[in-house]
Amino acid sequence: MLSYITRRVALMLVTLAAVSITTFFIIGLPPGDYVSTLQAQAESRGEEIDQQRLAQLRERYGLDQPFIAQYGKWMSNILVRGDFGESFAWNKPVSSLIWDKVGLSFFLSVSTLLFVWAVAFPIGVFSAVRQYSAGDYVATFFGFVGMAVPEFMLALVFMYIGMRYFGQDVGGLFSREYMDAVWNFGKVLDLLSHLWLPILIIGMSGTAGTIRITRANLLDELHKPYVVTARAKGLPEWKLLLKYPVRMSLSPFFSTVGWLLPGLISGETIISIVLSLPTTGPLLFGAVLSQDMYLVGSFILILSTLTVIGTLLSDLALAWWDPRIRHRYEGG
Amino acid sequence: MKNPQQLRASHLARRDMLKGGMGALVALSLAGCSFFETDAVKKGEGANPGKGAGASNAKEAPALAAKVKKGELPALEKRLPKTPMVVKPVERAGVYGGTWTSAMVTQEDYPWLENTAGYEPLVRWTPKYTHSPGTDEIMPNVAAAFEEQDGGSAFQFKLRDGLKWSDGAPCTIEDLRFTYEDFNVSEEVHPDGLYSLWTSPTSGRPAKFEKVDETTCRFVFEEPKPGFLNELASGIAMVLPMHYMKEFHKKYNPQVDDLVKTAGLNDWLQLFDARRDTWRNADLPTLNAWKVVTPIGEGSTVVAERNPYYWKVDADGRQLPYIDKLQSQILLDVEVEVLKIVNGELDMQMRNFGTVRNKPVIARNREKGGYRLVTIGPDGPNNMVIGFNQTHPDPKKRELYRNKDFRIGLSYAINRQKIIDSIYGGQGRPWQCAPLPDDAVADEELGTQYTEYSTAKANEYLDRAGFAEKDGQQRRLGPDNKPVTVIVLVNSEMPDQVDALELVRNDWNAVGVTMQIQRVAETLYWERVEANQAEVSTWTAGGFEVRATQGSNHYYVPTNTRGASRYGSTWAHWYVSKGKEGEEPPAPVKKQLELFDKMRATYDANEAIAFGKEILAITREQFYYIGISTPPESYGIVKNTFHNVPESMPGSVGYKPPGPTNPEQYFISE
Repeated sequence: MLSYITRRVALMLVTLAAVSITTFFIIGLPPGDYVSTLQAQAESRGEEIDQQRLAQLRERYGLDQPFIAQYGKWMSNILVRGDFGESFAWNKPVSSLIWDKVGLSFFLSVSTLLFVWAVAFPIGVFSAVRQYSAGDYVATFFGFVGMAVPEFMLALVFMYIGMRYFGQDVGGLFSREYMDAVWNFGKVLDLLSHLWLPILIIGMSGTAGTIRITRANLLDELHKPYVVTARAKGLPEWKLLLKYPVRMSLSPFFSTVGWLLPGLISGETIISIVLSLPTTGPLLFGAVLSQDMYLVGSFILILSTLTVIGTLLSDLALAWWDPRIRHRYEGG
Repeated sequence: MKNPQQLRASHLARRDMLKGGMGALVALSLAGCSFFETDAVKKGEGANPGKGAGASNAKEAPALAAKVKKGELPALEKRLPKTPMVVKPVERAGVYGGTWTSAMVTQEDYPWLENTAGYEPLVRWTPKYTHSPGTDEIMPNVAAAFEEQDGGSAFQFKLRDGLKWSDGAPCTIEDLRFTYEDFNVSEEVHPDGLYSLWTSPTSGRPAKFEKVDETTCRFVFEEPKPGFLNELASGIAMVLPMHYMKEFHKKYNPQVDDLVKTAGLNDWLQLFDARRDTWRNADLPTLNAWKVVTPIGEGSTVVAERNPYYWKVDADGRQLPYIDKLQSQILLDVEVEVLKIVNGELDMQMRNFGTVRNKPVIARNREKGGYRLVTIGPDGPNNMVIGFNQTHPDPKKRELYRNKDFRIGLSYAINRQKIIDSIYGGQGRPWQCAPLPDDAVADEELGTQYTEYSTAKANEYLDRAGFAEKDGQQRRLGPDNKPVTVIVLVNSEMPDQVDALELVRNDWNAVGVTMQIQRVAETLYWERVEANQAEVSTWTAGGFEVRATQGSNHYYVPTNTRGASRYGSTWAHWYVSKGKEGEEPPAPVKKQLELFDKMRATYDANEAIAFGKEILAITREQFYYIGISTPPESYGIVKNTFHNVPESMPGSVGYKPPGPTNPEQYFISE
């Protein structure tokens, strides 16, 4: 087991190095750079930046240096000082920008995951056990609808309905009277009344997927001989179901729990943009658009690190949960 | 909005309930900010929101009066300068109080803040603005008075005596000197050259700063400096709070590098830039009507509160602003802004949403959302102009695009009314790339020549251009016996232009000219255009500026190596490098450039206008761009409870709308 983990960690480092170089390279590929973004913005404000100023800005940001030099400087700062560089657009260190917004992203990710599990798991079990019943068809129907409708569309529709028929205010975390208020019970309620919508919308497609996976896995197990044997021995149906086949079908929950980690800081970009939630997603999106390269690079690097760590953790969790997999690791 | 009496009553009721139900909490509740309160309690107000309009004859906001009473703030007379600026309300004197809720689309939308809460230049545009090139539409602002001296080569400003920053520190001539000498023209800050506004046109040396007396100073150029005041009125930073900023300036703080390190930045210039940013630094003292308390980057809403030292009063001598607080929510999508408007969540808003496409939905919901529309003048003179690269590296292309008959033919071929009706909501009229009729240099013929829709005339000119031969598919053939094809580059972020080009393509097809549309992202668009690779490219247009405020003259004369590259890249390079690079332009273009230099060096507005007209007469002959139509008027929304906003205002970016309409005298009441 230990050698397995060591090997995985070594591979992780190689992966991360490759990801960071690729990211940095790709950011540099599109035409223009952050300074040309600045120039376009200034023009749309009716200002003019002269050529000297542009050259000066490129020099200040190090954009006139070759790719390798830029990458080397960035990477060595990270490795030596843990300094991810600074964001051009925000004039702030990248790390402070990202961590400022992690709280809400974290909250959204965890609550969405809990929501998905709480809804998808019982429904999945139900529709496997009562396969082809009316209930199964209803669950399947909504499952597919949830998977097929794009999230931003759902968000806009919900917002429109909320506004048109319930007079709710749209987007953001707080109503206008609470925006600048001190924290009290009312503000917490106001916050919660704004947060259930994104959780529902982000959870929708995940729920649909998880229902289908649970159902399929459970169906695989339900007709296996050990189930028949247990039933023949007179085990009550619900006890039998929960103790054996359901346990076996839980693997996907463990293999996906690792994805939670990158989700914590990636934020749900599109939903956050539509609902105006200050998570990390829109920050990354804006940075990509304006070619704010250190912000994008560090963002993706941190995301990839969390992804590989998350994958490792979920593999370990799976091994702990499922002896069949554990034996395969130890065998190999 | 509840009135204060109602608010107080509901609080009392809640307290009674708490007494009955949860006696233990009474003390907490009475103490003010109880966590178990469910009403919105504003920061710093405690549980007493009874801060409403106050008596209508009060000279200052009730909250400030209360602070004065408690001794936390000097009396009003001590806070105001000796001669406060008097602002005449648009409709009537207002009441104090309220919060102006608005929205920004992404944090890059800070011009909205700048134009609503930050338009406090040394001199400002009068509310009545027609884009006059003279100085007759410029009035005092931070400066109590200004004078043009020595035929426009020196400018004298007199600061208001007793003017104070938002922290109570005096704003003096020293602040002006610091901003000018240690920032605007400091070679350390600008190692690659100074902004041309500060330098004498011929020598390139910066103007001298002279202190005349304790409240008066002069900027002295070596020769007349036309447009200096106009550009200041467009909102260039002229006065920074030295007492705060000097800590971040190397000259005044040799230990500044420690601060740079703590902030995690690279050099002190960066730190200085970060600290002087009104919208991202809540510590920066300001002269604005409202001072930022929650800056961009902290939370999802920018909040600004009234500046107790604001130096303007209404006609009755009551201190402005009327409105207590601004909150601008940072949205990420324009559609959400539209929804918020329709839902009545925004008090006064203009900018991003004001398109023809959104107008029906916003107009339809006026009653439900409780708002009205105000007219914002169009920005720029055209929806779309099509430029033909007359300096393309390929000699064949160059010859094709230099052929004026060819361009005239293509212009006649366009059914402009159809484009106006189907894409621009029926608003506007056919128009070439030309200043609008109310402009000082307006040239009606420049705007209307060749705009008639006539395939007969189009065919006549295209035949005359030398493309009379056609192939079996009715396509005109070039000298190489291949169909004449033009490749048009369009910015994919301008969807209306992409749609309009589809219609133009059909029109041109009908007269035998093939068009290929290349739709590319904005950065790639500029890369190709600036590298002189584009054959034909589109954009919106800007006005012809007798005075430099927006730098959009390149639509009429090749002065700028970026914009002018759509039709004359190498000419512009020749002009900018003073003949060292690029290519010498043909005689008429050269003449234009000479006149342009003369116009920019002529202080007298009428003479300068005459030069401008001469330049445009050549532009008319040269016919660089084919234009489509005048842009529709934009619009803003104003809640019915929000007052003193004029029914219409100019929309030109250089005017900084709504800044010159004095947002400090807007007020909120039922």
